[in-house]
Amino acid sequence: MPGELLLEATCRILGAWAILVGAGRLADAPRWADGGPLGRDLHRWQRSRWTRWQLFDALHNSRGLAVLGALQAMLGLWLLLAPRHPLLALIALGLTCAAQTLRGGGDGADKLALVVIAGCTLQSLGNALELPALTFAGVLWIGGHLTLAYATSGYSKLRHAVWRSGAAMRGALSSYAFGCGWAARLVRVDSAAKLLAWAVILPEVLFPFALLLPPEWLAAVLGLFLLFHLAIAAAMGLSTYPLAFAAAYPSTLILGQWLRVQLGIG
Amino acid sequence: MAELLAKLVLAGVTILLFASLVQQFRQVGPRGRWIDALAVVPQWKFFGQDTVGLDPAWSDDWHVLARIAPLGEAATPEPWRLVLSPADRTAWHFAWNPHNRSRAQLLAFAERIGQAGAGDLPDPTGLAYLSLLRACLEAVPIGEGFALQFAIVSTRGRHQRPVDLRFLSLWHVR
Repeated sequence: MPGELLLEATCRILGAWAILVGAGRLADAPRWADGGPLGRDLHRWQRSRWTRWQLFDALHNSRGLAVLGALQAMLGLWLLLAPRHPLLALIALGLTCAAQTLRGGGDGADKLALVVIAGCTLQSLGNALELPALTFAGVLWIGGHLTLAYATSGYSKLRHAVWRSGAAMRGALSSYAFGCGWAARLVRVDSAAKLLAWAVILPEVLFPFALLLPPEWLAAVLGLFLLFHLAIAAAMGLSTYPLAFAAAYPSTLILGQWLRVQLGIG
Repeated sequence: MAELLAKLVLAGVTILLFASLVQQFRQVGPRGRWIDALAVVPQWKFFGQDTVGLDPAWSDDWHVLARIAPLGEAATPEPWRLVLSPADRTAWHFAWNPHNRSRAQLLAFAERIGQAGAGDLPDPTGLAYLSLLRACLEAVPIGEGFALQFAIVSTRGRHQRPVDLRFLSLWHVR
């Protein structure tokens, strides 16, 4: 029963993400029109991958992208309002996201959302067919990838001296591409940049151990990570990241509980 | 039978997760790029890429400028105009930033050409070059008897911002 509630929560968060991303794609579609800088006609002329398939050619022009965006937003609304019957919406959402990904221009939040969509589909299929192994496969897929995402991005920062010294943090937040005015002022002081860098590296590297914490503590840790993503969204303008990551948290909570039971500490 | 299939799916998910773990420590090749983007065997770095550690220019900002000039050898070009730049964000972008993707895509093209360096002239019929040329023609329309040239420059940081010219295009007429 708690698993079903957490799946509903995942669907609602995923729904909010899909509305935001779909509406964004719809608003951005005119910029991908033929004759424009990102026009599909350039790809056709270049004979790029996927242009030989008529279906993708139709989906990847500006009208196709607008339709995909509108569909994505509507499916998001479905997941937000009717999270108890998510299966069809999840499959359709997965297909629209995959079609957009093949156009290019995707980011890490899109990738994580695809992981969550696949995992959620397995969970809801497992619940509908009463197959616990399938439900758990979905939980493992989402929780496993969130853990991998945090741990390996923490580790890959840890092994670079520029991250350990805070120089990478200053470089990112001082740029116009990745930073903003208040964040740039914050990292002007060496010690502040270094402190901020370690405040990112350590929690990320140590995240796998958080799975072993009691559920309330793990929820608190995930809450702190959500605040971290909100801060990144504010500084870097990455508005879709907090929802994509938050959608992976319910399954991670279940995975943590399962791990504790398996290790006899639950 | 259904239970066996479910267990097979669980085994498949476990194998893919292990493949993803291995993938974190490898370079993603052209084939792996799609498997990564479709999150089948994704790689998670989030600002931990090797370029961050090895290349001090990884956080440079890239800008595209364009200028026009009347055709003719003695013609003086008009001043440069900024066409594309990673603009400072407002608080609103925290919740709504729909043009982030298209802007990022064009600036990635600028970075790709700019990083190649002056000695390595990009293919003027390539996707990156043509996309930027179109962006410039859209922002700085030219009529008959005029030509357009664009430049890619990079800057680093906000306080001391030396402008580094990284690429100068050919002159183009409509």
